[in-house]
Amino acid sequence: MEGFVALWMHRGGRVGILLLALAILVAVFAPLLTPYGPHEQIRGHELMGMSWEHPFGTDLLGRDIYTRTLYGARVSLIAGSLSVLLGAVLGTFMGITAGYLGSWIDAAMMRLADAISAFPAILLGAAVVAVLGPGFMQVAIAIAIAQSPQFARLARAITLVESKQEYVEAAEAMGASRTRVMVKHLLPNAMGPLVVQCSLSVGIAILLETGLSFLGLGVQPPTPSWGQMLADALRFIEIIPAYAVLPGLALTVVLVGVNLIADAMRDKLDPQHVAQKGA
Amino acid sequence: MPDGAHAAVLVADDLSVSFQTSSGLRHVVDGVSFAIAPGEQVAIVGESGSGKSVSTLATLGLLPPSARISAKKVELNGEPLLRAAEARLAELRGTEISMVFQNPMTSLNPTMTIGRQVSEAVAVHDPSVGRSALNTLAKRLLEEVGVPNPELRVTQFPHEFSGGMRQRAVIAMALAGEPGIIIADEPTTALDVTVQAQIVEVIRDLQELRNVATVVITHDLGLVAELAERVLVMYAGRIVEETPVADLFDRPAHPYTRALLQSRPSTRGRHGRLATIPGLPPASADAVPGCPFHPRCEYATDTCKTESPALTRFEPGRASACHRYRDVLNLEPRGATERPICAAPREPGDVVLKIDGLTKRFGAVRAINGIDLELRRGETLGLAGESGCGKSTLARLAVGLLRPTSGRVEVGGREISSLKGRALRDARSGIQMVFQDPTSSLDRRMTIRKIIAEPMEIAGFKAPQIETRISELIGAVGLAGHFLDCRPSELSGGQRQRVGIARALALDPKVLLLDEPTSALDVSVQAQVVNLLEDLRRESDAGHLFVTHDLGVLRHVSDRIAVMYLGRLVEIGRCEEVFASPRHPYTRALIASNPAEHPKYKSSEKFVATGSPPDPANIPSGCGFRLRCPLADDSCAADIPNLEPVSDTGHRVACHYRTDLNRLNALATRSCEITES
Amino acid sequence: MGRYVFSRFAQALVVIIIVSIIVFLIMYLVPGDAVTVLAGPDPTPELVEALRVMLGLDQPLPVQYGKWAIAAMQGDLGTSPIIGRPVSELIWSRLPATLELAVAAILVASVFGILVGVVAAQRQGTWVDATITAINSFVLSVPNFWFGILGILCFAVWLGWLPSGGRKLWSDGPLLALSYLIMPAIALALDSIAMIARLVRASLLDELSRDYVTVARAKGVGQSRLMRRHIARNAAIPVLTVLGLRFGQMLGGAVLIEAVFNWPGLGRLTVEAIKNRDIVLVQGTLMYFIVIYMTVNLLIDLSYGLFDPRVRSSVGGKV
Repeated sequence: MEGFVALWMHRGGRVGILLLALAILVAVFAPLLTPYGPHEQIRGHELMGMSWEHPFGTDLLGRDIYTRTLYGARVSLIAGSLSVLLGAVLGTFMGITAGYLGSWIDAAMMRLADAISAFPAILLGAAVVAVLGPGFMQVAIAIAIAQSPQFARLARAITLVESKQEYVEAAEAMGASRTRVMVKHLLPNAMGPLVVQCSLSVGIAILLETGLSFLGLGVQPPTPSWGQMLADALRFIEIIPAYAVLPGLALTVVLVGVNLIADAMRDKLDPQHVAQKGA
Repeated sequence: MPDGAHAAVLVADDLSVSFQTSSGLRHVVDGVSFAIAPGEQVAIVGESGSGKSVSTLATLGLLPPSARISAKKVELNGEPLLRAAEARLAELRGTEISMVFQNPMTSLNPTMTIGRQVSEAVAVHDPSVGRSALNTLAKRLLEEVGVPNPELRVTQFPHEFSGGMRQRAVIAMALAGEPGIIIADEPTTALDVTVQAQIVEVIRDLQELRNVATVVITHDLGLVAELAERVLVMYAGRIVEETPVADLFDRPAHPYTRALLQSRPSTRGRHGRLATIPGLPPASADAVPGCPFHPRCEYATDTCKTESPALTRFEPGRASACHRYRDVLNLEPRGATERPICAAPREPGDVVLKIDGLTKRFGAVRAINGIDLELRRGETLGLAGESGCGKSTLARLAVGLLRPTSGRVEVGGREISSLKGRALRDARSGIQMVFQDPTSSLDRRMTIRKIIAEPMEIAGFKAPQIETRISELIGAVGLAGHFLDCRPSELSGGQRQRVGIARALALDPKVLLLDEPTSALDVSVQAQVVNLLEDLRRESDAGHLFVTHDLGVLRHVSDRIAVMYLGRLVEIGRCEEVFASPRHPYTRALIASNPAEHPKYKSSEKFVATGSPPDPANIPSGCGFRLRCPLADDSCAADIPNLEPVSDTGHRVACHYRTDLNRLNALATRSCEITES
Repeated sequence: MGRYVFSRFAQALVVIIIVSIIVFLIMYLVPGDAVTVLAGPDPTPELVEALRVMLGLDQPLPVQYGKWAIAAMQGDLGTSPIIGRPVSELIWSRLPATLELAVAAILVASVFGILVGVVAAQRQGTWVDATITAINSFVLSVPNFWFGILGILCFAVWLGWLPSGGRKLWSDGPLLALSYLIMPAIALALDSIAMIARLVRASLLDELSRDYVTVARAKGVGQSRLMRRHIARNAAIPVLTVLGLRFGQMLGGAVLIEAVFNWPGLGRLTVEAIKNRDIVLVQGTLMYFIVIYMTVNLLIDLSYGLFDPRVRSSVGGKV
């Protein structure tokens, strides 16, 4: 709650919260905002341009683009947050153990993280989808794996700094076990930056999800997703130019919102960063 | 205005500085006036936050943009600076006035050669000077400040220089433009004691050989005694006293100065319990009405609470900002009013900590090279040495934070160095540690209550038991109960260190390891912690192993002291005996390097060890100190001297010349050639 | 320096080995291996066994990996069962297009990114700085490929100035080739421009706050000399690191941009291979992507020595 108030007091943070809230409301209340269903195909209305009935036109199957854009928010928001959560848990575990235990565990975990991040994220996602097959959970797992090295590196870096702090030595000197030091001391002290990283990663995760479905490797039709719609729009760009506008705009609104919140969080939690910005 | 202003190099009149912070305007300097005459040696002394650095940085226009500066007048050689254009200031800096900063590790550009940085002040002001002339200049300056082999050194980068050598380079840099005044901001604080002494000599040489005014900004009264003729004492953004240096030590005219002097432990003998200054300096210069010092002043009257005293001149060259300066001047000199320290030395108890043949290596680094040590119940053993000598490693080995490469550590008769898991945890309750940095040694996310409870939780105490013990402990370290629900950030440094002590005492250990527990604290707060530790030792019968580089503190607290160099003990014995008759040349260097406590002890003849301690990864054969030791000969290179007794009171020394008093005493009157290359 | 170079090489080698193991395992994790594809419906157990022996699948996994890795090191990544041509041949026909796109984009990104970042840092706290910061944040929030689609919409469909997709060789005429390259390259570079500008600004300001800068100012060094002589070199180090990382991002981003602009590069080859379940080809393209990325980053790591004397003389003590 305290954190929310702090974000709300931040100019950019407030705009971000409003934009994201808008996106969430749209995703939840999509059925109330449109007379059509997301899969509803209207015969004779295929590939229509802008009209009163369909303000942003229809696609090849005669589905309302506006409606599908509203429903598309669900996939992006859920896939984005779920994958970041998974990636954060996985990466944080790797990073804290690697940083605190050191030696071969550290070397092994970090080389693994290096290897994962040597894959271009979208191709790693694609490869995971190739193994697991397309689908919502598969995409979320793919993105989580692609994001885990970020968290692992951050958690490790913090752990290395923190474990040089004397309070960690103090805990060890009073006989605290390794697990206790990691859970009671290192994790809470790493939490702030990790949460900021989560907020930064949500935007990247949403982008990845959209990218995968743009390539046809993400959530499968008929579930509406913005990436798919953009791919579709590109195909018919000569016929209905406006098709590309709405899904892309929706995506941008969500990303701007998420990134504003992330920047605000970083400002609040990392005073040094603020000093640099001269704010 | 101070007298002599007409001929002054640097003048500030009614200078005030405040900073815009998130919580409003913070006043840091409040109406400061000073005038520095040509060639004069001035010191500005004060604790952290007193505004001593800010007031000088403000005159040069070097403060960040968030600073608001106002003054009636700031002049350099009669030229107004306050509203001067940045370009004009840049012209003056380096040629008319230059600065030496505190931390030589960060004040050099890592990607530029030393030679270029040294001569840059000339290069920027006079583009006609050619590269070879600049190079020659850099070499000459490095030579002047005692950097050996300048031919090679000018081509090197900062990371190839040791801390002491870097600070010499920074001083050379400040000299390059032949300024009329040099401001040195804590020039020795970041350095080891023996290296500090070398830098003091460098500064003193330039005071003597060049006609340059020096302003030394410091918290260290010893440095004041070494390097100043005239002293300005600052407190809460104001100058509270101005005085010739001898009077500062003999007849302070402000209660703050007096309290500072008395809270300083002495290497010249024990004077009893240290005086302390209660409370803390105000956060902002305007936070306290009346005299800013009155809440902490034992002589404060009602007038002091309402009327701010002006800096009043009462003798030529002397001024005090105290309503009662006359009374302060007439107070008894130091020592006479002090209570004697604890009664006769106690009977030595059983051995509580026994270290046997201990060694520790980190790869090629030989941190500890065979140490035997015993600590008895109720005794304080002081462990002295410079950074890198292994004293902190030794402490960490003793508590079991590190595993020894070989050797044994016994706590209360139980060998702990080979224990693991649960058994180690149990054994550890007998030995606890207080850390150096009270900020980093407390988990900032926990409340004080949780911090103190943690060792008891780990040891498996029951909740009610923990509660009772916490209230006992918090009282024992002199903190109020309401602090228990605070987080460390809400406490001052001294209060945090008390929490660290309470935590260490929670399990009632037989041995308390104190790793530089006072070195992160201001002098007045340091005295409070030292006193607390002495009280605690008197009340319990734990043995204290007190690790520090500060000989004053060491002499004050220790029954016995041990001196470490390169992972070995070089001298150990009863405190008074070691200080009265040190038998190892390194011990002598260490004692001599400590800044003088009074200008009358200042001497250019004292023994300053050259160079800095060798890299522990590359230890010389034989005696570790021989490369810095003027007495060293072939026998010192051939074998490592053992600790041999020099008296029947347990005074033992690891030097072939330990009994050759003639040669040892000759050290003091002889400065040695620099052998470092 | 020698030890530094060696440790970098060793690290990169370890990472490549781990990557190759992951890539190799994809084959075995994908449901339905080559045998089921080749054997057709309702195969006899004898046929399956024969096929397994033929494909070497009966051998222990490490042996199979060893054979695969040795062949791969000799440039033999197998033959695509779908297209029926050697994988390396397919890759080499597509590689130049992707490299052209990525190099063009990294050039655009570094030139504009550094320029914008320096301007923002010099005007710190003014409206110029604020505007740049705001635009940067916005650009970072807009997906590259949507920018690409909007570009096509604007410059190809409405204005008709530029082609909507495809690629022409430089031998067909530099201007023509450029007209095909310009949109994809800019679309690919956009977020990197913003990212690099941000970083350049931050690292310049970070250096400005260091002690040695105050020291330099105290000896009378003026603003412009301060920037050129003292700060540029020190601030370059983090920027260089990020350029390497961005190059990797661009290889990934190219997958999408190639799809948008119908650019015949490695990315499209990979996506087609995944859709066709042409696992051998997927393995090959992934390995290429990663080796390119690792090489670029290795070169960048090694170039630190040019900027930072501490790296140059990482061996040798101080006196």
